Formats: sequence, structure tokens, C-alpha cells
Amino acid sequence: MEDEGTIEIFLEEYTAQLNFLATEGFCESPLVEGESTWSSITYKVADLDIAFEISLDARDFIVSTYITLFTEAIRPGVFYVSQGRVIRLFLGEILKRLGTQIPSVQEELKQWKADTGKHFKRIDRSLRALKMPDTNAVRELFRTDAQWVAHFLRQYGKEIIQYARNYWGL
Amino acid sequence: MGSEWASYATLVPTGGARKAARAAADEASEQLGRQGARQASRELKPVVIGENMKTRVGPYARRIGAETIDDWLAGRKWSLELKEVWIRQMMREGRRVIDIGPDFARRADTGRVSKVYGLERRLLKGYPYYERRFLRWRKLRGGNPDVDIHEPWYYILDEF
Repeated sequence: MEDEGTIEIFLEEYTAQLNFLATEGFCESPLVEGESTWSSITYKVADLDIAFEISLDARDFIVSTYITLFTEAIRPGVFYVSQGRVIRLFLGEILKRLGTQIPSVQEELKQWKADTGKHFKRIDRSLRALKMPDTNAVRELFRTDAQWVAHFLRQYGKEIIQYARNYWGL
Repeated sequence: MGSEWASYATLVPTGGARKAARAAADEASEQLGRQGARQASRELKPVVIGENMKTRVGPYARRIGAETIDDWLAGRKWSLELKEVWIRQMMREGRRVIDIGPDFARRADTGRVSKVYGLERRLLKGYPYYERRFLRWRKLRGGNPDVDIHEPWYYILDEF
């Protein structure tokens, strides 16, 4: 991991898979933020106060995908909750909800977790041995996860947005 | 609280890590002495540790006027080695270390636990200026009331 950093790989892989959101006009150009230990890419949905946020904790190679209430979530110092309401929803949890209406989602959700879990095991082994994981293992993990996230947003983007709109009353 | 501490499962169960933790804590005590460390802990900003740097640790540190490893790294790339150097330096300086704990919501969603946070906890075991600011009950429940959702996601989402 010395030559190529975790954050660089994260940005490359997720923007490669998700930039269709911006190029196809569904979202605005991505907003990239970060510090030494984390990075995030935010795609704000056009004309709505909702965004897709992909956030990396570079220390642990853990990526979380959220649907956010954009204007609240981009404020500095904001946690999961702002002014008494939840402003970050996990994509996985929304998909679980959608799975009750769209049966194919349930199976795909399981497959997403299984595919990324397989790659994450390699990373996990390295960290347990107090070693930084192999670059290829990190890239494969991020690529696999990004492909799944892209799939869900392509296939169920409208339903996900509708869920978020209902949730926040937008 | 003591039993919660004891039941916390850090995931690097090596004897070496335990020895290193003990040595680091001893080192901090020896170098500063209790009086000096107490003085330093009043003068230097406290540091915050926990899971999820972007959504929890960083914002919480800013809110209370504390620092995180990101402030110390100042743009350098994070590494396992630097993480250990940072923790040891914070202990040598006698800083208060505020632990806001696991990100239970993320654990519930991803099923993944931060190994690095576990290592930090091990290194800090026995350190006199460690402050735990989170509660934990059952495997996936708990948190810091200022930072976290009080119930796991599925309970909140059930309301809608």
C-alpha cells in the first residue's frame, strides 16, 4: 500500500463506477472531501435536497453508502442526526425495506454482502497480522462494492429517492 | 461499566499487543510522573478516538474543541505505524483521550468492526487519562448520546 494510497484507489474506483450519475444528468458533479483518514464522494440529486454519499474510513477499509439530506449532511460537525432527525440513511437499510416490495432486491442484497465480504476477508487477515493489505485486494474490494452500488442506483434509483423523499417529507 | 470494558472484544489477540499496551502506559506514567501528566492534560487539547472518522470522531472533536489523529497527521498519509506513534505521543504528553466508542449503526449495516480502533483501545489500556464516553448494551446497541442514533437503524426505519 505504499505506492498507491487507499484513498486514491477509493476515489478512482467509485468515481469510475458512479460518474454515470452526473454524466446522465441524474445528479450534479460529485463533491469530494477528505482528510488523512477518510474520504467521501457526494452526488447531489438534481433539483432535490437529497444526495448519495459514499464514505471511506481509510484506517479500516470500510466504505459506507448513505442517502443523505444534503443541506444538513454537508454542514461541518454534523453526525447521523441533526436537529433531532436522522439525516443519513444507509443504502443497505433502504434496500432491505424495498426488498419487501421488490423481491429481486433481497437476493441482490445478499449477493452484494457476500461478494464484498469475500474480498474484505483478505483485508481483515492483513490487519489482524498488523500489516497493511495488498493494493490489489483493496482495489478488488472497492471495485466490487462500487459495481454493486452502481447497480442498485441504476436499477432502483427512483425507488430509493422516493423512499428518501417520503422519509424526509420532501 | 467495568464488565462492559472487560467484555469488549478487541480483535488483535496477540500477547505482543498486550505487552506493548502495558509498556506504553507504563512509559507514559514514568516519563511524566503523575503530577506532570495531570498538568499536561489540563494544558493540551484532548484527543478523540472511536469508529468512523468522518461522521463521528471528527465532528465530535470539533464540537468539544479537541483534536483527532487527522490534526496530528496534518495531511500525511495514515498508516498503522503512524497510528501507534500518535497514540504513544498522546500518552507521553499526558493528553486526555476521549473514546466515543464503536459506530454501532455502521456495524449493524456492514457487519464490520474497526481493527484499528481495537488496537487503539489496547494501547490505551491502563492509561490514567482515558475517558470512556459511550454506553454499550448487547452486541449492536449503544453509543454516545450526542453523536449516535439512539436505536439501531431498523427500529427507526420501522416507524415509516
